[in-house]
Amino acid sequence: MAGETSPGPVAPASSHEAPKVRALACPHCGGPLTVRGLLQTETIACGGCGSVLDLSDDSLRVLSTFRARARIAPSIPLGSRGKLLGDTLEVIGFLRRKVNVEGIDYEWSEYLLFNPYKGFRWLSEYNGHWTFIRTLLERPDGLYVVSYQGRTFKHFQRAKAEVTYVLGEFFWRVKVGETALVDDYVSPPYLLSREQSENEIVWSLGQYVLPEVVQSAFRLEVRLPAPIGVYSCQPAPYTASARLIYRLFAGFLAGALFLQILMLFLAKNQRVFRGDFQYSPSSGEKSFVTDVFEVPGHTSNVVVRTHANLSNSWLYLNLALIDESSGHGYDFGREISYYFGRDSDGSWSEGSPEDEATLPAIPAGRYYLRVEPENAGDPVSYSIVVYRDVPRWKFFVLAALALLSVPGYLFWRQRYFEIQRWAESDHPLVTVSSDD
Amino acid sequence: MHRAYWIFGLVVLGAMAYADYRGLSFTRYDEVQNVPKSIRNNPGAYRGLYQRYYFHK
Repeated sequence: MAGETSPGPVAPASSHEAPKVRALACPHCGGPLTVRGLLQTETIACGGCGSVLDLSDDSLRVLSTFRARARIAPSIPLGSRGKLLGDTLEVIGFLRRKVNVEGIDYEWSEYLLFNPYKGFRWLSEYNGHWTFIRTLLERPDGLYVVSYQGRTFKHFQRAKAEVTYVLGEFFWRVKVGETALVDDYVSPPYLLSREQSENEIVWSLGQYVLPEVVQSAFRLEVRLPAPIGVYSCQPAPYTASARLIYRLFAGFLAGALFLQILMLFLAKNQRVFRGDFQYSPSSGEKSFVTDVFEVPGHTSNVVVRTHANLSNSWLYLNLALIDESSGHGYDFGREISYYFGRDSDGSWSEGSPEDEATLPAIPAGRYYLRVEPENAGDPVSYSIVVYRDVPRWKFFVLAALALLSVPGYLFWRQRYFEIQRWAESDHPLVTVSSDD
Repeated sequence: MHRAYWIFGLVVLGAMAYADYRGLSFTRYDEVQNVPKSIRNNPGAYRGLYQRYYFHK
């Protein structure tokens, strides 16, 4: 935070000597000034003329003046009181600061809050994001990573911060134009800030606060602007939900694997028919029927595997699995082709001499196959083998992909959120190369 | 959200178990009704039957 280490709270004196809120007039422009800091503030900035006055001097000596581009009205008016994170605080000071990164100025607001028993706190606002900050007495240690109170804070950004506007009271001799070298470290929703000025190094700890919380704490009439973008210490949405979803996904995947293994054990995978055949185009009627075979068990799949001795040729089989008693038929066609050779790149092959077709949900019964082969004219020998209740992995894979959809989406969202967070830092997760 | 995912996960597992148990697949086939027993003696007659009685699955 700007300025020197904030003084600790001073217990109020006895009732007949208790410091009170004072109303004064600016000696420069005559504008009204209200002193709320109960003798714990050193300066007050006049909103009318930009004079920074010495509160320790009875005549309110002018310490410095600045000419602001425009008068800025703080979103939380000076004198506002509210209860924030357990402490009742009053807004007594307001300032604007900026950093310049790659030629672009980034400005933010800081509100100095005061409680006579708790001392000073800060509220920082940048692009609608609010952080509640208190100065630390400790000095955490670290360069790129800092450990503090069991949390690990990663370095976010280093920049020189400059005060551009002041209004109200401050506990040090604030001046427009004063600078400090600031290092920010984040462990969302917390932010550790190290400020090095000419005289000292100050550490402070910030906690991200939703604008609705600030709005209701100070009972503001004007709605605070909605946050823009992702702030350095803004907690990622769905973090707690995401962890639970990931655990659920692991549980469901284990359940799916268990079911799949159970199906593997329970499946009959029984061969119910095998036939070897010769096809020669010169013969008359091409179609024929096989012997009747039993398809047992509950309604399940029937897998028809064919193998043909092909050499740079093809074979097409019109197949029908027909229930002998009901006359219900399942008609399907399969093409088997296999080509191979050698060229300048070596040997090549295309297709396969084997084929497999799965017929779903076939009731038990007595069946036969009607077969009608076709090919280019070469004699070919082939075999047909029929299996019942063959276990498959494809539904396990489909189930795993379906279950992955939600955690996958959450992971992508979190990843995108972090990319946006760190894009504003000195250590972006993704760098985009310039074509310049 | 996790309640909705619970329900979704249970539905997926149930669908997977059903598909595996029933032996479902994506193979396309046509169903032919009332194939007479005489086809066993005259397989070539099936062609005319297929054209009249089939419907795609």
